[in-house]
Amino acid sequence: MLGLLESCESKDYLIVRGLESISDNPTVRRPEAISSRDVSQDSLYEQAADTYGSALDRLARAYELDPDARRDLLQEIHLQLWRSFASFDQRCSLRTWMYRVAHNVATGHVIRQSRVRNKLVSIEDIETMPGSDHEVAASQTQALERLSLLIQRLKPLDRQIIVSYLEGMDASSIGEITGLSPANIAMKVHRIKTVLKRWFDEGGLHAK
Amino acid sequence: MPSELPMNDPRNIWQNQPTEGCKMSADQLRLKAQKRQKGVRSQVLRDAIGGVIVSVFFAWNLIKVNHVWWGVDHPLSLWSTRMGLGLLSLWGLALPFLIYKWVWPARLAPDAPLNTTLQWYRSQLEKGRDFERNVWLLLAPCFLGMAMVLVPALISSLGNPRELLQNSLPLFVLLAIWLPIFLYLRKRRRGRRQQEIEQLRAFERENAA
Repeated sequence: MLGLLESCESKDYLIVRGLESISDNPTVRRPEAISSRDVSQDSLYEQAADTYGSALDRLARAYELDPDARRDLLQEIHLQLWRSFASFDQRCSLRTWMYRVAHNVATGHVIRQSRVRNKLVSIEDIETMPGSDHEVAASQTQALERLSLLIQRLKPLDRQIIVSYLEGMDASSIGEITGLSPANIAMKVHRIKTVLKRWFDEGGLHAK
Repeated sequence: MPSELPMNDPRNIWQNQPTEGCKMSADQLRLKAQKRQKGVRSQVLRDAIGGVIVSVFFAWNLIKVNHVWWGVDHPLSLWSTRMGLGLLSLWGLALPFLIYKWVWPARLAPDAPLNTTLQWYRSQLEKGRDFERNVWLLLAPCFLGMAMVLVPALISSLGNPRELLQNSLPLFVLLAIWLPIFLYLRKRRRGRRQQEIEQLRAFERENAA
């Protein structure tokens, strides 16, 4: 029974509570009945999808390696992003809003995979792991795969930071999205750099 | 994707990876949301019907029972069986509601982007922790009901320890194996989760300061 309940928790299909807001949301209605608020929501989504569409694709890769599951996750991110713009009040930038929604949806995806979640480690753990298991990556595709695998091993918060770092964000932007202090971000980014350097220089690409 | 990128620059490799793109039109998104809402409604309906079937099954047995199924045929035993069946019937009715309240996780609250990802992640971990704490409330009436149905058999066997042992040994052996493992794993999982929550709280405090 407990197993059943836990599998219910991990399964994706039980989503009523999250959708209550959709059912109450005046924007969810027949496409022909669109108000000015919907137009604003739609145009915000359009803007975000046009500007950050590729970044969302990459973000989904950081959370899901399986192509089919990743496509589902990406669709879910887009759906929730569009939904969220109904309440966008410009208290933060569009980019910060977009990344918060995307990371939260993707983190929810990780949380539901309880078997995966229990094996996740922090960047500090990876930093102290021996580098003997590093394989040589001969091509960019392999390097990307290795990078994705490294990210997949991380706990959600560290994953958010490494993805933001790889996207080229500065510490204050990462702090705005995640809520970590600048000191913590600096420390984490330093560790991420060390780990990446080790993976890509010493044990990785050039160790052929 | 450029054919030659610095092979030791993870940022370049990451940013220049091929992407598929998944932009949907607003109408597509509306239809998708409506479709999902419909699916969820049917799921709720199916769960509610399942609960009613369980409830009716036990209620039917409650009405029909006029003798103890096993054990001592004593009025108290009969009442114990009836009360057990009544409890199981009520539990069947309440189950869909309890699952809805505790088990179904929220996807994303509408105000989630107003919070940082750190706050959101912590709140999700706390929800998981609270669910684990409350799962006993969900299961307790079921176990109690079953125990009340089985108690007459145990009472009847008290005068005959050999029979008691023979009848209940497999159950107790299974329980003795399962319970410590289950409790240990639960404790370990709860400990890890709590540790992570504390760590996230510390980050939040640090940022607030």
